[in-house]
Amino acid sequence: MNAIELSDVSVTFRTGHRALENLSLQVPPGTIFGFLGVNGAGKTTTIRAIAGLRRTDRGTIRLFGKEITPGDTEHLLSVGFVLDEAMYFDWMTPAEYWRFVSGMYRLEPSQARARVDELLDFLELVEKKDDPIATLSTGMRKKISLGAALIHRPRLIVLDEPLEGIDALAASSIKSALTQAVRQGTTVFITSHVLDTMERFCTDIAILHQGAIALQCPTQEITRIAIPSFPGRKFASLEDLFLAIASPGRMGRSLGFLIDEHPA
Amino acid sequence: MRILTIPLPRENQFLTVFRAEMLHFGRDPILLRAVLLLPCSVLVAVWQYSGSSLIPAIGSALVMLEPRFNNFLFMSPGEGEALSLLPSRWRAVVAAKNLAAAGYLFLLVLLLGIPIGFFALRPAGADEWVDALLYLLTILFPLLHLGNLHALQHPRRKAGWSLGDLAEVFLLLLTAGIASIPFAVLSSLDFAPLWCSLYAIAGALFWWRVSLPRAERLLRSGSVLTRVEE
Repeated sequence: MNAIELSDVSVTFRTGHRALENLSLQVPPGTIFGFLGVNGAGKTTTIRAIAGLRRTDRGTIRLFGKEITPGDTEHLLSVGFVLDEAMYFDWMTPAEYWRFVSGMYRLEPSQARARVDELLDFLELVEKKDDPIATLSTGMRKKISLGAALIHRPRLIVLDEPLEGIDALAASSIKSALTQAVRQGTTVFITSHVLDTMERFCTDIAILHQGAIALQCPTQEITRIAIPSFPGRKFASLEDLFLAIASPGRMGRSLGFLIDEHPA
Repeated sequence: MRILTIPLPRENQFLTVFRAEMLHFGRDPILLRAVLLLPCSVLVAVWQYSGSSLIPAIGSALVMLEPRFNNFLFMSPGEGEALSLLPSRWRAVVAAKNLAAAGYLFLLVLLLGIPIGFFALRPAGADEWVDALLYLLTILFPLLHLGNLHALQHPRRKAGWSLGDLAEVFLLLLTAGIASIPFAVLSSLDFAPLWCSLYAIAGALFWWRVSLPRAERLLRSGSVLTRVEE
């Protein structure tokens, strides 16, 4: 049973723009699954559809075999989300917000207190624990969203650009914690534009191009994979593969005025 | 033998949300409306008019609490989505937010009524306070019911000081005016407190049996948050 399974999912915006076109995707359990694509490819729309925040035109979304529909909430007991825009009660302090989230996840108060203290320490927010979230930096807000997504020890963690704006030290700790969680059976579904990091961190990747999956494979197969549209070509890295798929006509281009022979 | 079963919301999400709403009280910038409203209310109170001297306090409290009735899901910009990413039992969430709004209404009328009553030409006596309590009980549940529908059909990302917010305040006051008609009728009858109390109980039952399930259905349909999203 896959952790996430999308079958023929299509999403059209009110403007008429088709963001996803018959998207099908299977995310095996216990993987760190990198979901890649250029800006506007449909990654965030996919994640919002999984979260129930975006209505689909057609298709089904299943989490651990159970089909979800907008408004469903029970399955959220075992899922944690970090969306591109942080979602919270921004007048609360980090500790208050995590305690609130713990209550919604029906954690025991003593267990919640212990986890909040551990998160404050782990995410280096002890000094900011009494400041309202609205006054904190983007990176700190991201950490708070991450804490809220992890506090109930979910089976599935869905992360949209979770490391954006977070310092290298905290990012390293977060990746380490997520890797440990995966060893315990958790599944991580993550998007990022930092391809080097994704290549090292993820066990599997999928590349979304123009609203549909262009490629899905284990990360270790990237250098061996054969793509029909690039016969005989081997790819040196995930970045190499990604650029070939996502934007083949634009590889190697440069900005003319930067290489002008007679700069002003 | 259990004769009466009170259908309290399941789990502890009701208390979690109610606690959060209470915590928000002292930090809600919308309460800064009091800086403007209190002097205005005092001015109205010293003006000769027929009716209770607590009317300005009730009006001011409604103006200050407008978002808690008409936009309860977005007391802060990402709040609705934050709740939708959690395993929220919507009926408990809406009930907690509604009852917190009710608590605020009574508290604010009390807090505003004391200074306004002090300056009023006819200081409010015990009778006026009892009448105010009965009046609030009769308008409360209709306001909560209509507010729930409005908040879920026309959610605003943010409530503050814009012209749109002013229009929403006007709408709430208009609704309160219409919801006052039963009180005006019932308070002229013999045993008025009894009739008003019975009407309030009927309103509470309607809120519990009709308004909360309807709000839950709307939220579960996903139409509310996708409407804000798009």
